[in-house]
Amino acid sequence: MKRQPILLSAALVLFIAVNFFPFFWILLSSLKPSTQLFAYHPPLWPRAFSWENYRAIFAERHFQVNILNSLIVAGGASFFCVALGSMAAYALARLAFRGKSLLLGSILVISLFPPVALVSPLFLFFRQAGLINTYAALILSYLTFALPLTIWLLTAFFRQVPWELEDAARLDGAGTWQVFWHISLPLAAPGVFTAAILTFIYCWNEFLFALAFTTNDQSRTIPVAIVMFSGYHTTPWGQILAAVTVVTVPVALMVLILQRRIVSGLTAGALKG
Amino acid sequence: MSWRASPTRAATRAYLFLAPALLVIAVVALYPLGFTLWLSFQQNIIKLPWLGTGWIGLANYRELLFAPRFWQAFCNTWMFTLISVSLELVLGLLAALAIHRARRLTGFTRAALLLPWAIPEVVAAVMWLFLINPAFGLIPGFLRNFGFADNSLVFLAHPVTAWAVVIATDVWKNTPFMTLMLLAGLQVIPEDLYEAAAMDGATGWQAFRRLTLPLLKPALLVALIFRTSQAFMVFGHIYTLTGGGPGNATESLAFLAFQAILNDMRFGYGSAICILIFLSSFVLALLYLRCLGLGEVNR
Repeated sequence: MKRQPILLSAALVLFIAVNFFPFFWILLSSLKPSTQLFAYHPPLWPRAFSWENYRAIFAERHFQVNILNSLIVAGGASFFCVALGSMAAYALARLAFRGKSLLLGSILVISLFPPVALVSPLFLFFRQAGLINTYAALILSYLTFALPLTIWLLTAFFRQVPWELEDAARLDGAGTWQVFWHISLPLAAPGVFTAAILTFIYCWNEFLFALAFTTNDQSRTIPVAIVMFSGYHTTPWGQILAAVTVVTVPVALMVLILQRRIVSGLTAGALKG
Repeated sequence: MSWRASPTRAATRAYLFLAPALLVIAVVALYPLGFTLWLSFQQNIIKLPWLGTGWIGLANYRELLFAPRFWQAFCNTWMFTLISVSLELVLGLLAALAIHRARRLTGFTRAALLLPWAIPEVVAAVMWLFLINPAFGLIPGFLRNFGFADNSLVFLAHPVTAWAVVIATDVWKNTPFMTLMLLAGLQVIPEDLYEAAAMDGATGWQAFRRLTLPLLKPALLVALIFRTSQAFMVFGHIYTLTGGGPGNATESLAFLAFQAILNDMRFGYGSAICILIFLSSFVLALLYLRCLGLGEVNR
């Protein structure tokens, strides 16, 4: 094994630093009192720590409501996606039927749809049905992009489940549903969990529909709420940074803990589908 | 096939498994998409109800063809997609090769790569807005040391620098995704192929051209499909960073459509823009599927 060229290591360290540094800077800045935050030459390390920004977003802006909204909407959408998607994916991965390749191709094409093309019809429907500012509107609209993606991912995972156990169960007289529910689904559980995480992240991060189908602070999800912090005349930077930190720290922890799963999910569709 | 029942009964069961998901997709995605097409031939301006609603044929499309703002957004979107995705591809490939060569994908590196991908695009945009703030941002503060004038540091006030910010931050956010996808592709290439090539006297560049690139093709194409289609629909990133400005200089197609629909409440006109975006990205997707080979989609 050759020794690591120093240049290569340096480039890698730089690459990682560029990825990490903005987060580090935002975290530190969110803890600075405003006199240091808006200084012409801001100090790298806060001279005094202040929790004022964090107090303000929860006590004055009720940011916890937006966090709850995001949890409910992303959780609900992922639940429906995984429930409906795992059945569809099982059929696509395991059962024989006509038009399978066409169906898989169309599902991939649907997941490449521009979501903005759905804004006007969905807005008109939701307005007519009185669903603007409801969880139902967001969950329904999230299914449009998340369900095809979940099906695509889960199909890849179901293909990795070994056939032998299913065959044995079938020889013992188990029906398709029993094989799916008692054998394949438990065996594919790690994949199903991975697909659920990825779907959750995509829904958690969604911005376009959340912006289009909510009109007041109480119904907004996190990304829209943070963007709406800015008023016409002032931008409460301290509070924005605090909110960014509050939502990024759990993501960072989750990414650190579940990194292998997330990467396997991201690459599942790409390689050996 | 290990299926033992008769083919028709098997197919019936398969359709039963598929039915709920397909029904939902049809109701929430396909039907609205058809409705968008229908709306694009309609006059439907909620702010101007006295104009009435109804069929106006291709009038919305005719108006688009002669709207400079549409053509600017059209060119902007293609430019943004081409430049951002090319930069992400080159940087992501270099990073993936370096990490693969160093054989050191520790948990820390992987987490560092995943973090920019995992946060919402608008949160990343807000972070960068803070970092480039002309009054107290870190980057203008740093550049000031090199004698840059204050007015040249208001990046979002000039079209060229505003685009530079939009593209650079998009590259920051998405290069890690590209790196991870390509790294996964590199890791499945058998090592002995390189040893054999080295024995035959291939240089590093030859091995890269003849071995790495062809074998990386599937991973490359999938990463490109995802990134290109996402870049082509760019909305939140631009909405947050520039709001389409200065003037209309950084408007994308999705941004223009959103403004037409939810600001101006012109549902017909906005839908016509959406149909054109849809057609463009459909052409892109077909191109990619052709490159991938449809056979590979159905493995």
